[in-house]
Amino acid sequence: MKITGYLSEFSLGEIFRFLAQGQKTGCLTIKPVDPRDEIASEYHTFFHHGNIVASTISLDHQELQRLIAKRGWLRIPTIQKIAQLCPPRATLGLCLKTQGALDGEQLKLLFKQQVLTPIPQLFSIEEGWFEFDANHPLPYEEMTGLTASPMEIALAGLRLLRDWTPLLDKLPLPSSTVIRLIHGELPYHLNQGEYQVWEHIDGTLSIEQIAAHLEQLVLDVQKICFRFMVIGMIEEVAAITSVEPLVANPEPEMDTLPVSEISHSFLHGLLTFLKGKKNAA
Amino acid sequence: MEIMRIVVTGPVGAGKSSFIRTISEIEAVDTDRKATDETAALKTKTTVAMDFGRLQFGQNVALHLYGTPGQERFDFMWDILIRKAHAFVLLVSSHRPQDFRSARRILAFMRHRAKIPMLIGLSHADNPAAWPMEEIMLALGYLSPHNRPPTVPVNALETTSVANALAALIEAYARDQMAELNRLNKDALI
Repeated sequence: MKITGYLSEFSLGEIFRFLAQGQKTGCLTIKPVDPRDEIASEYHTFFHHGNIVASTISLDHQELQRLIAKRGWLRIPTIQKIAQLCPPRATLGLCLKTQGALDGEQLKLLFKQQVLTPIPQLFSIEEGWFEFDANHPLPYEEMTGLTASPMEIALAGLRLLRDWTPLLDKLPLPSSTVIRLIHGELPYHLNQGEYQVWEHIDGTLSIEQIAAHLEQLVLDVQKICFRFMVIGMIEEVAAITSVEPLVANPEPEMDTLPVSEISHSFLHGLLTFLKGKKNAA
Repeated sequence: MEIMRIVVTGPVGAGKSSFIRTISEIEAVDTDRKATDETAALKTKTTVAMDFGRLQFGQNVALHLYGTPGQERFDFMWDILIRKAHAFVLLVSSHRPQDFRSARRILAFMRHRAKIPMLIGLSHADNPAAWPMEEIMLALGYLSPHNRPPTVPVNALETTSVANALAALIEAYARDQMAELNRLNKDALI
């Protein structure tokens, strides 16, 4: 399975949510359209059952080795020699740890550098093309053995984002009501600003009302709500726009008339009629 | 006259007007331009952007189809339409991932205003860039395959395909009605 599109159509946060909720395995490739974007020409993030397991900017399977060597922890020939001692389909990180060449803290640092560091840049790409390939094999040579939830990564990335321009048209509308999708214990650690907004999400207040309550900028609350939407904590319910009434002489009773039940004979007759249409065509 | 009202909704360009025109036995009306008695039954003034179609399949029985205004703005028309509807069809273009967010927004709007049966019609499913059905459902927020509305591919220009989608929606409505009846019977027995 391959799906493709542009980030202007389906934002990175939405892609992360899609891959996490679908528990997808495969490779997500992102290519900035504008070469001025300060990022590599390609960026690959690997998923395993909906979790991020590695990120690279090339597919040569040697980036993790280079990262380790750059930090001065091991030389590349040494890494390759140790890797030969490990079974196939073992992640390089765990292999090096098992052999005593690296410890858990070092793996955490590598994973952070590999996956977390480029995230703010990725989220600020003006326009990018993406492809998710579910048939791409996992790159065990690039994996530390650690995993991260794409939702948490997206949350962290969006918190660090400075330029929201590419996402402005994706933010929930100020007039929209926001509704909680999760109840009980929060699955993510929220910062103070987020928690305050979360406390005000009761299914009745609009975003602009929440902003007024908190004496915050509407745009700031919109950004927080967008983060919540991306990580699946809330849903936006658009308001009915208070445009000039379109009805010149409304009959108020039309709005209060109940919707009558449809009879069984009606449904039967309609189905027969539609089947006839199908056969006649 | 017994009338069943079905709302056909979806993002701009999903094929709502075509869907209604293809199956309607009268020339589908864009109420921006022309008023009819049937549209007046929903709204007395008819200067609103809305497609209307009708299928009369017996002496006193008819199916009315109402298309929601195309733009992503929910005005009074939406509210009236959905509150008068017995069921609705959400049309989504399979090859336009940029529409999934809008479709999701429409779904949330509908869900919070009316608990009525629905069907998702996936148009342009044969386009090379079309997303597979499973992935579209996920993008629309349906995580479990066991808890989602009926979904069918739809070619809004083909009578067979539109009739097939409507039949699936009617069946969903009948199932819903039966479930409600069973629930009421059960309550009555307690």
